[in-house]
Amino acid sequence: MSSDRFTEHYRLLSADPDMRARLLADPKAALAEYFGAILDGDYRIEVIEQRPDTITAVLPTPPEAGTDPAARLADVSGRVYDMLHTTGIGGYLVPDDALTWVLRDMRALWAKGGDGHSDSDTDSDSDSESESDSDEGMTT
Amino acid sequence: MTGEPAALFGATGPDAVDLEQALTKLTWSEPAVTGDPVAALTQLGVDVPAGWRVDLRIQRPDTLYLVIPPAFSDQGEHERVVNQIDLWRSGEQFVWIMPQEAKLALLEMREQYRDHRAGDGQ
Repeated sequence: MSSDRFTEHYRLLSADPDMRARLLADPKAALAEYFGAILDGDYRIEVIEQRPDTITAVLPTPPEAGTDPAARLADVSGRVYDMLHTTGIGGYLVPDDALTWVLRDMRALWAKGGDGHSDSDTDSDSDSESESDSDEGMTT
Repeated sequence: MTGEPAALFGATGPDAVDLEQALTKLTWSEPAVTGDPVAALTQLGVDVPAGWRVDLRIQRPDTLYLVIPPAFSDQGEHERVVNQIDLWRSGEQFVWIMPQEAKLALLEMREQYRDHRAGDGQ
């Protein structure tokens, strides 16, 4: 079974402690290093590590200023997703619609091999691009 | 329903119906509690079952959360499958991320919250 570069990235993050540590320390820089580019823009990337000893609760986004907090609480309550991993689940939580196309555009950029929009020195990482030519099994 | 001390959420009644709603209410009111998850759960009458750590994250609308699989513990695991998921508009949801071995621990915490709430006369 062949592996696309996204799947390979998750595998490497499990297998390579240094790569994992770099991603945790500076997610955008580490993603730019691996994929060859990162999308510009006013957004953050935060990593949630699956760990064999950890229960992570990812809470809904609080109400915006000026909106009714009680209504927001009522709206989000009961929408609970239990994600139970065994060998691992990789992917993104996308809290807000404004980020939907940030992620999709970034994946498209990475699938093409990552030209342009880079905010780091990526020329030294061209080896990873040569591995990226096969199927695209990522979610979109 | 009057006299609710947390005026911010007064319209929702004096108590949350389940652990997830209670945690949401608490962390929205006091974001600093995410720094000490055990103490936050204690406030809700819930003890974290032995052997487990808890990580609390409040989703920010400007942030993509990249979930990564566990580190392999030995060479034999290097061919293991990593499944993939994206959760869109996750900011409107409460998401638990944990090993499948933790499911009874989560059940226990949910039961503790229900019993605590019942003990308060709800």
